[in-house]
This record gives sequence, C-alpha cells and structure tokens, in this order.
Amino acid sequence: MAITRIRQCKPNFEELKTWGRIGLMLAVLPVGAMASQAAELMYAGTGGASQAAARKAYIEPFSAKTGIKVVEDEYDQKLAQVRAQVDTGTLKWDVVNATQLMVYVGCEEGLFEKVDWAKAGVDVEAFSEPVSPCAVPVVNSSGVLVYDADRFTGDTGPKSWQDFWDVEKFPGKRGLWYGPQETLVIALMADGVPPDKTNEVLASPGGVDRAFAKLEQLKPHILWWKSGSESMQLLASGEVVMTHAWNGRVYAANNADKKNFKIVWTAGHTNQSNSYAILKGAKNKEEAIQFIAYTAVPDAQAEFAKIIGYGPPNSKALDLLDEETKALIPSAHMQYAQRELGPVYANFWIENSDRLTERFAAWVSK
Amino acid sequence: MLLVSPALALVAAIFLLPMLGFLSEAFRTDEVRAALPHTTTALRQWDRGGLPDDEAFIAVASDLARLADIPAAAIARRLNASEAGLRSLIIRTREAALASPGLTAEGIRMLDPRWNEQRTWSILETETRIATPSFLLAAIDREIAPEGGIARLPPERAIFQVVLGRTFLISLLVTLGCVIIGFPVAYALVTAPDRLAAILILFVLLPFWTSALVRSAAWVVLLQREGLVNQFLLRIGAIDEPAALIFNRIGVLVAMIHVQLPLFVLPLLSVMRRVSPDLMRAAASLGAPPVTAFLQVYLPQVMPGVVAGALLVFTISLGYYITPALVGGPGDQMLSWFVAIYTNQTVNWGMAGALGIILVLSVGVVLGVLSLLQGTDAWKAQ
Repeated sequence: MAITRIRQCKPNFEELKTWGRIGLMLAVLPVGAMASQAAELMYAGTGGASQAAARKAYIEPFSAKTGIKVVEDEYDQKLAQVRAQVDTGTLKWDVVNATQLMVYVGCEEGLFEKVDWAKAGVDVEAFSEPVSPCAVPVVNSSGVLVYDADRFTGDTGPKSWQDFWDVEKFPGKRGLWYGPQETLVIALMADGVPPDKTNEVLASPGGVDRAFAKLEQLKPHILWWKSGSESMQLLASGEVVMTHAWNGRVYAANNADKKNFKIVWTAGHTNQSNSYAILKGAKNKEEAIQFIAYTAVPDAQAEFAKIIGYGPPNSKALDLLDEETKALIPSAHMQYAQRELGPVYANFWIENSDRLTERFAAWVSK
Repeated sequence: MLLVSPALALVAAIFLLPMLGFLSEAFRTDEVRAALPHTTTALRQWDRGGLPDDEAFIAVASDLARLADIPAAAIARRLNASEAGLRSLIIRTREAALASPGLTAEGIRMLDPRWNEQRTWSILETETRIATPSFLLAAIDREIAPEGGIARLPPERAIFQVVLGRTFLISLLVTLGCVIIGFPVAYALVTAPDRLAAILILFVLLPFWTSALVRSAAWVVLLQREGLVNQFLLRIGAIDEPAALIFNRIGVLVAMIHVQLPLFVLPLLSVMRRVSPDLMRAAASLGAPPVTAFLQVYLPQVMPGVVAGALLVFTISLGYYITPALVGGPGDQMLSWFVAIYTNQTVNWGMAGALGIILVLSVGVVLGVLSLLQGTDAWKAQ
C-alpha cells in the first residue's frame, strides 16, 4: 500500500531516502544481532583482583585465540542469583565462577549443565581433586592466619590458632571473615582439632555448638571483615593485630604494597577451589565449553597463579612455576589444610549452610 | 476523593500491592500444597499422634515422583528451612520413587529413618495447611512444638525480640538526638537574617541531597582509628589512645542523626515561621521572664512541628538498613538487616515476609498511639 502510494505521488527523494534507510536498518538489524550473539560469551566472575587476574590469564588470551568475545559481569557467588535465572529461563550468563558448595548444590538441583569434560579436551586426571561433571576447578585458595611481621618481629609472632585466641599474650583485635563457613572451622582448629579432622567434627553431633562456644570466647576481640581488601586494610592500619585472610590477598599486599605480612601456614588453613560452571540452558554452551577447556590447561592456570598467588588446581601447572612462587601458594602446605571438599563436607554444608548462615547472623548480632 | 484517586491508584499499584504480596509470603503455603497435593489431602486425616497411615507415605512418594527437578529442589529447600536435613530426605526419597514406581510405605520407611520420626511429619503437616504460622512465630522467637502447641525457640535461634528492642532503642536515640540538635538549628534559621538563613539551610539540606553511601563512607574516614577525629583528640590530649568511634553504636548514632536531621528540621521550620514574634514580645510586656514566655507561649505553638518531625524521624529510622550496615558493628544491626539476609542470602522469603510484618505493625502501633495522644485537631493544624 505504502509503496503504491509513493509511486502515485510525484517522486519525493527525501521521503524515498527515509524509507530506504528504514528498510536497510530493518534488514541489517537481525543479522547484526545474530552475528554478535554467535561470537559472545557471557561471563560472571567475583570481581576485584581475582577477576582482573582471570581477565589477563584466561579471558583475553581466549578471545585472542578464538575470536569469541567474552562479556564480563560480576556477582557475589550466591546460588540464588543463578537459580533465579535458570528458574525463569532468562539467562544473563553462560559461565559463572562458583564456589565448591555452589557446585555441589547446583549440580544436584540441575542448575548447571553436565559435561563430559574429558571429551571436551580437559585433562581430568591431572587435577588434584575430583572434577565434577558440572564444573572444572580453576583456582585454589586458602584462608590463612596472617600477621604484620613489622609489628611482631623475629620469632615473636603468633604460631597457631590457639595463639590467635590468646588475647593475654597478643593483645589487640583479630580479623575474621564475616560468615559461618571458614569461621566455624577455624574455631575448631583453635579448640585443638587437627585441620583434616575439622569437617568430621563439625558434622558430628555437638560439633557446631562446640565451634560456636569457642568463638564466643573470642567474640569481644573480633573485627569482622566482608571483603578481601578489607582484611588487608584492617591489618595494614593496625585495627587488628592478626587476621584470617585469603592467601592471594596477602601475596598482593606484599608484592604491590610492599607490606611485610607473614602467613602462618602451619597453624592450619581453610582451602577451597573455585570452578567454572555452565548455566543450564546456556545460549552459548559450546563456546562456554571451549572457554572452560581453555582455562583448564597448565599454561593458563600457571599464568593465573603467577598473577594472583592462588594455586592452580591442575597439578601439571605447578611444574611451570618457580620455587619461590610455589612456596607461596596453598599446594605446598596441604598437610595443614582443611579442604572444603568431599562427601562429609558436602553433605553437611548442603543441609546446613542456610541454617548456619542464619544462626551465625543471630549469634554475631547478639 | 476524585482528586486524589490517581495518586491512590498509583500507590496501590506500585507500592501497596507488591508490599502485600511480599508480606503474604510469611504465611503462604500454596507452593508446597501445589507440589504435594496427595500428601496435603492425606495429612488432613492425621491427628499428629504417632505416625500417619501408609496412605500418607505413598502420597509423598507419588507426589515427589511427579515433580520436575527444579520444583522438587524448591520444595526440598523450603522444608529444609524448617528443619536442617529435610532437603536430602526429600531429594533421596524422590530419587527412590523415580527409580521404583511401585514404592510401598514399608519401602519408604526403610529408605530413611527420618520418615519414622513424628517431627518430620509434623513439619510436613504444618507446611501443607492452608496457611502456615511457622514464620510469624519464628519472628517472635516461637515455634510449633512437634506435639502441637507453641514453644519458645532454642536460645541460639531466638534473636528477634532482642533485635526488635534494639531497633526501637536506636530509633528512639536518633530521634532524641535530632530533637536536641535540630530544635536550636530550626530556631536559629527562623531568627537569622535572610541571607545568613539561606546559607545555614544549605548546611541542613546538603546531607539530604548526598547519597547514603557517600555520607557513610565519609563518616568512616572521619571516625576510624587513625581518622581525623581521633587524630584531633589525640593531639589536644583528650585521649591517650585512639577511641573506637566507628563500627559500633556510636558510629551508627552519629551517622543516622546526620542523615535524619533535615527530616526533623524542615517540618519544624515551617511551623516556627508561622509563629509571630509579636507574641513573645507581648508576653514579655506582660511581665513574663524569657524562660516562662518560651515555655508557655512559644513552645506550645511549635509543638506540632516538633511532634511531626520526631515522628517522621522515628518511623523512618525503624526501617533503616544501609547506614547501620556500613558504619555499625554486628551488634548494631536492626530488623531490616535481617530482612535483607533472608531475602538475598538464604532466600527464605517466608521469614523475610514475617519480619516485614513485624516492622509494619510496629510502625502502625507507634503512629496509632501517637495520633491518639495528639488528638485529631493537632494533626489538622499542620
């Protein structure tokens, strides 16, 4: 109709041009949208220094190699955010950086794609922990006891979590992460439980009460931190004399800010891997598998470890690190580790994490 | 009435309805009832004495077998919020029911000892009633005992009476602080020459226009251990070592009073402006000393402004979240902080809704009592 009417009129070149432009836009738009969809991967990481390292070691080289553009987003590793997207079928992300507990729960609930990783080219055997069909471990980090060696010089620093609890010998505040998971385990270590037995003790009857009772002793002396950078800032400013902190943060503080923070690995540390998982029904599933396979190779994981000081879950990456770096990452100290891994850990935290999050919030605010 | 109907419609659509929907999460059970219809029917015949009939066991298995992955997980999570461990019970039972369709009641009993516990069935029964009182009870530190009746929650879970008391206390202290600081400010603004008043009111309004995040961050810089306030106090020798001014109650009160002050000053200001200065002069000419004139002539006239401002500050403080979260310690968190935990972290919307109801009721009670005390005339005077 519109076209015949234009023909009947005198030729109006301005009008024709306008129609032409609109037609061109309509023709190009869907193609453009499809093209950009095909070569994109939506990625959600943890933000901060960790995501910056992932960008350098994983995302940028992957894009350069494959031409697949990775669009980054950040989130605070809450399964609820993944659940909301999968439940409603409105997926914002393809790949997420997930904690071990998220992988356990999400895999059971069907929130992540199950993939035959060996078929996708991942050297599953090389990993220092079992690889779930739902995710591939990409970074291994530890929560450690750390103090400022400029404050406690020579041999005068704390040696154990018992020392951490000893406010007579080491007066001053202590920093702990604001949440139940690592905190309850640390309380048990301070109560004399060997690190590798803490999962069993916590899961046994009375274990949780024992941990809370131990925490109660230290409660007035605790400053709670909520982000990794906060823990380092509290230690640097002297608000706390010692703190629990992520080992990569200590690595960064010593390297970039020239601090003299000392990690007491032998006190016992909480160790966990974060993994990359694919959301169920992800639009770019094939690209996501390619990406994860890329991040699983020793080269990439070693590069990541060098930047941030967290360990590579692929043990072959260790051979690519120098001795100095190796001493600074968790894998050299695993005999002192509580691992957030295995059936005892999984069963206990799957059932109890919500309840303990609520109980912890109640306890801490009393 | 016609004039305000667009406003009413807007409020209803974007505020009242969503809010009621959220609050109704506190007692809704339709999610569970829709997922477990046979169980719901079977448990209506159970009297909570001992275990229910075989029929209920088979109903649970057949209900679970019909559910898809994601709704099944949702039910498992929801029941787990009532009792840790029910999640795995539901998931394992569903797996067994899917594997062997003809699962008997005896088979389910063998599957997991928790099916032989009256407590498990008691929770299922509560969750499949038309409406559940569990969340509202938990919000006042109570629960339904397995044998029926209402019992206190164990001490490690009982927290909300303490938190509600704290919420009222902090709000009250903030209101008091605003009255003490704000009244002289408002009086100065009214009596000052116009140009000076314009500058002064800018100081009052500035925090009002600044984002809560910026304001709170500024207080952290000022009040921290090596912050400006501590450095100053150390230099003049008022203290020997840095005082704890932030991440505790002091920090919360200072920051909240700062934020709320304009809300007190502005209503008071508008009332004070209408009081003629001639009245004070008249009182003085009749022989009243300044204090008497102030108390008997001035104060009664500006009282509606004080009450309106204080009420505004108090009710808004009751729902405060962001400032205590940023400048308070764990022991200074108010009720809305727990609403946030239940909404975002543990996704326990029943609990979040129940706490929301407590908060709304508290505000309602305060407003109701005060409007009774004030009488309707005082309200109209404003």
